[in-house]
Amino acid sequence: MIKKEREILNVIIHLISSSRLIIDEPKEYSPMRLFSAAKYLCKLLENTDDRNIRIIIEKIVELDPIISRDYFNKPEELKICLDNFSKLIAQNLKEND
Amino acid sequence: MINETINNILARESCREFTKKKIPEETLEIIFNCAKKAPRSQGSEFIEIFFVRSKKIIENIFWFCPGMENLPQSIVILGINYKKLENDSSYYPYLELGASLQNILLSAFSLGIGSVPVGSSNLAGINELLEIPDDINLKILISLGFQDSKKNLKVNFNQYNKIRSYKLL
Repeated sequence: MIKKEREILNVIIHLISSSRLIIDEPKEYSPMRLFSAAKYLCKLLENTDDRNIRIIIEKIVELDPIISRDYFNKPEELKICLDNFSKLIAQNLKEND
Repeated sequence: MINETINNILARESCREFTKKKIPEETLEIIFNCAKKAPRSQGSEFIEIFFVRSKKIIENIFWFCPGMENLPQSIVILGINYKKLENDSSYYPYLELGASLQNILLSAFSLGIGSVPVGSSNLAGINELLEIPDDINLKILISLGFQDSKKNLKVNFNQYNKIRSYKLL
């Protein structure tokens, strides 16, 4: 298996493991697990030259500890945070297009 | 009345960020001896203890543990060997396992090693990955390592500290 494939497979393992565990875990864990997967995928894009992708990646890295620690069990704050981030992603996509 | 043991119990907190410094083998040996020393029902031996030190295996396990935020230097896994259990429905193994787990956490802390039980672990996947016999049912995984104080983020547990009193009968 080539390195890149293995790195993608690792994120798949993380997602499958999360799917299995979330059945028994508090529902608050779900956004955290998906966001972690996004963070791991960002790692695979870290060498990008694209300015807009870089902005998104940097924001994900910045938000990851906030989502897993500060907003755990604070659904309203988490919703606002993810809505704002979604808008930022959309703005960068539009700029890119 | 406070002594070193009580201080350790009261001071230990979960540690999720670790440095790259290896845990010496002698230290792991002490932690193992403490885990073994947990009370056992009639000298039973149904608790199985696995120590993982190989970086490659730790890296593989990491992806099966969504609850593991950083790579630890070592991993301890506790399981129950159902082949050695006379009564499958007995709750004794869980009492023993809990005592072993706490001995691991406290002995590690007293030796300057940070630890955290990783509840969110895909134990079925890890069981297969490590080629552990089906009779052994893995129950909990513990990350061990020297605490990275630069990265260690504090979690405010005030809202979770619901056990504030005990009943004196």
